[in-house]
Amino acid sequence: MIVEVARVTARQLLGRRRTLVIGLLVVLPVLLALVYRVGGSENGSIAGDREFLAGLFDALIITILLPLVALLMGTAAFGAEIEDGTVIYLLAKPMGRLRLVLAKLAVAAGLTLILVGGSTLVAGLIVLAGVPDGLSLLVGYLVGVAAGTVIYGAVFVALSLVTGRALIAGLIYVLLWEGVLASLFAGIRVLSIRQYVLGIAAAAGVGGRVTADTLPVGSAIALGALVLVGAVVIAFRRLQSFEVPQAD
Amino acid sequence: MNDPMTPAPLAPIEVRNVSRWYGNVVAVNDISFSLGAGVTGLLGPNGAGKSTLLHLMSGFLRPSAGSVYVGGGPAWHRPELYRQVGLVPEREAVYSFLTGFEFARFNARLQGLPDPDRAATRAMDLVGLTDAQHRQIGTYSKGMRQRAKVAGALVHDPPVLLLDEPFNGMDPRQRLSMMELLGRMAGEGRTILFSSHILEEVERLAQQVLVVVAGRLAASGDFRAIRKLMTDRPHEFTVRSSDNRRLATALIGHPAVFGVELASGFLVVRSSDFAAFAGAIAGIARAAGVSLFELRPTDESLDRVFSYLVQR
Amino acid sequence: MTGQVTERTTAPGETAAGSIYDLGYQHYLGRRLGRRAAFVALYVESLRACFGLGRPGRSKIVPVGLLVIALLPAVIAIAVEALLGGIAGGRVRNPIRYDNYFGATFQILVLFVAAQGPELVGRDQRHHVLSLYFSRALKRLDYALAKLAALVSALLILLLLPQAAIFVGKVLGGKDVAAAFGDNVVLLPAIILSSVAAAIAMAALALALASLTPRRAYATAAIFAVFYISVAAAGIAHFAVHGDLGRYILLVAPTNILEGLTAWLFNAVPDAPLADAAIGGGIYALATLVLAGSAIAVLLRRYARIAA
Repeated sequence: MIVEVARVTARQLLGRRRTLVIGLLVVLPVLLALVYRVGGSENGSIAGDREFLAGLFDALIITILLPLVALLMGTAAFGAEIEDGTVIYLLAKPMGRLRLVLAKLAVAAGLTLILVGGSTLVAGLIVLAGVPDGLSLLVGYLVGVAAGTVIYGAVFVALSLVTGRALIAGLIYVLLWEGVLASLFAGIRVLSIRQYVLGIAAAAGVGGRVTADTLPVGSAIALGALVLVGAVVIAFRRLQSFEVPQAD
Repeated sequence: MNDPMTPAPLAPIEVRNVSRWYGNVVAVNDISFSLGAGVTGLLGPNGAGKSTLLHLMSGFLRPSAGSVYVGGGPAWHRPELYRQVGLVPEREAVYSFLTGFEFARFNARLQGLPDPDRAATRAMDLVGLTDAQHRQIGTYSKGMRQRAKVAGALVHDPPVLLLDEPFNGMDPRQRLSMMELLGRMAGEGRTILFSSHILEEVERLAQQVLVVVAGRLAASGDFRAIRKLMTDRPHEFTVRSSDNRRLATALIGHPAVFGVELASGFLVVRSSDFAAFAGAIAGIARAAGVSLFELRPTDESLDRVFSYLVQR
Repeated sequence: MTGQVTERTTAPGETAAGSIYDLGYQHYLGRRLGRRAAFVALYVESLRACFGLGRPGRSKIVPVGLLVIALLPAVIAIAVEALLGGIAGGRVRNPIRYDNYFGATFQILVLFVAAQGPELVGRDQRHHVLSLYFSRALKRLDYALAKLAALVSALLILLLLPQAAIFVGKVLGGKDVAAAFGDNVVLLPAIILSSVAAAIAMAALALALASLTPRRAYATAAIFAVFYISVAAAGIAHFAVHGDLGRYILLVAPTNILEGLTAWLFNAVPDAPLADAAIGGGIYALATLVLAGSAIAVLLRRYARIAA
């Protein structure tokens, strides 16, 4: 049963336009990595390489690409079907609602991981070619991205089951909450998925960028897990109590 | 006498004092009924609450009050329900990029059937889509799409079938074949409930009707029997005889008759007591020296029953 | 058949068995206002839609809220000017000025176009009413241009109103009104030009993106993505690449272009990293033209070819 759900979901998420657009997005870090490699003659110092990759990772991948792709995949997992009513075919089946949520989440997060993680991997390999223990640095980033796909994915799937305007709500969360407000009020770090991801990435990679602001890895994992489980539970409960909207 | 401790065995569909409201709007108002094998038509004007009732019975709406039991247990919060129930929803949208067969198989797989391919083929056969089953649903006509939906709902051989406006948009021929299919299913012992606002369809197919008006159950049962129960509304008969005027004069004297109208070539007689009138008319005619050619009740169609119930 | 017949139209093929009656439907024979009036009507209606006028309260929250937020720095600037101007004798430089106004407030503008752009062009696509528009005097390109003009006007309001407030504040806040007026009025061309350029460029870009899909949420996400990702990517590329290419690569981001243009028009220095890129003002102007031009081209092409 789950396999069939996963299969149909994957088919829907990889619809022509969406994949094209997301594909363009995730090619960007790779392009920039190539530009870096080919570009300047002053590039190529080991410290410079790591600095560049760290910048690429922080400013582009974690801040924008990961949440954006996770948002697009996560909200579409249930979103399209709820919108046109075909979710009823999925729900009128003797399948546990938790399983259904997990199946959709797995596909959304998995696709995000392939796309964003793949992009990170390729960009990282290009930049860090020849850097000692560059690989462990890259592994740290990938672990962070993986954690992000699951946590963001769960939150956005839950969001799509809670409100019809999940995409906008998600955008507001990423841009305003994690972006603007977090830079203004340091305390918000505790409630920001981005910080969890950064904390995990920093700890997982050898010599990762640990600044004074980074969440300690224990907190990051704990809070991240909390948010993840919470989101899944919310999604599950909402799906259980799914009611068809009032027709008028 | 039923022992109050052990509840009576549940009918396939059992609805008890169910209400559903949205804020101030009451969509379903204290409705109770129980259905068994056979075809039942859920009849009512648009906005009467038919879809709401069907969603309540298929576990897609929570009752605000009362209880709904389908397939042996409550309908709400019980995914197991869907082993027993096949649902054909009203909304058109269906995965148009799948072929008919793939759609049926998709449903079969989600049902966890051991041999989804065979179930899908069988379902396609049942609804008569075998020839078109490998074309995309997007290319189907409206009637074919409906049939594909029915196939999807039948794939796991459910004892209960709920259909929301299944004949919407079908031409007469498609309608006939769908009716024939449903009739066959009912003959196999399934409980089938379908909703409609088109009286013709219900009249032809349903053995029982449930008439829902403004959220309330206005009547249930065989519609002819319902008609007979409507004693506060006079029955109407059309009578043709050798001398209508003389017969009219004679009839108006009888206590069971309280209205006679002369139309061109026939009489319209209104009687409050169907049985008494039917028994008396032969004698009255003979006494008046008039020969009866034709006696026909004019308002025993579901049409009249329905419009009466809606206006009450 | 005893129907009321006012006038019998002699239909060819009229037989004794049936005829067609004139029910009094009349063809409109009066004056028609024509294409120009249609354009203006669509423009006005779209401009109203930009601020949620004529729609339920919910639609007003975002645009009006953003307008208020846009006015806030201006109001603060006036207050600061009034206080500091008087107390410190003009030695303290107001953090909010004309030349850096765009940099400070462009986020609000991005939010506005991302929210309202899709509203303007998404609804009509979604509900398939474009055929209604195009079957009238309005041409396809008229439709696109009217929508664009409306969004540009809305952005101009968002840009000019606060700057007008700053203007008034500076003029009336100083001790010598006439001199202050003279000082500030020479800046007027720069104010207007920079605002117009920003409005056209941003509106065109947002509308071009929004016109590509009837789904408003996706369009909003796309607009955000383009504006924010371009800045991030440009910054990274700038860091990565050295030499001339590294300097000019900042022009990939629309917000950089407009920030640079605004600074140049006021003869001021833009914020970093544009400052050390030291790109000539004329280049900024050219880049703005290219940006606006290509966006408008995409928009027009979309509506020239859209299926209605």
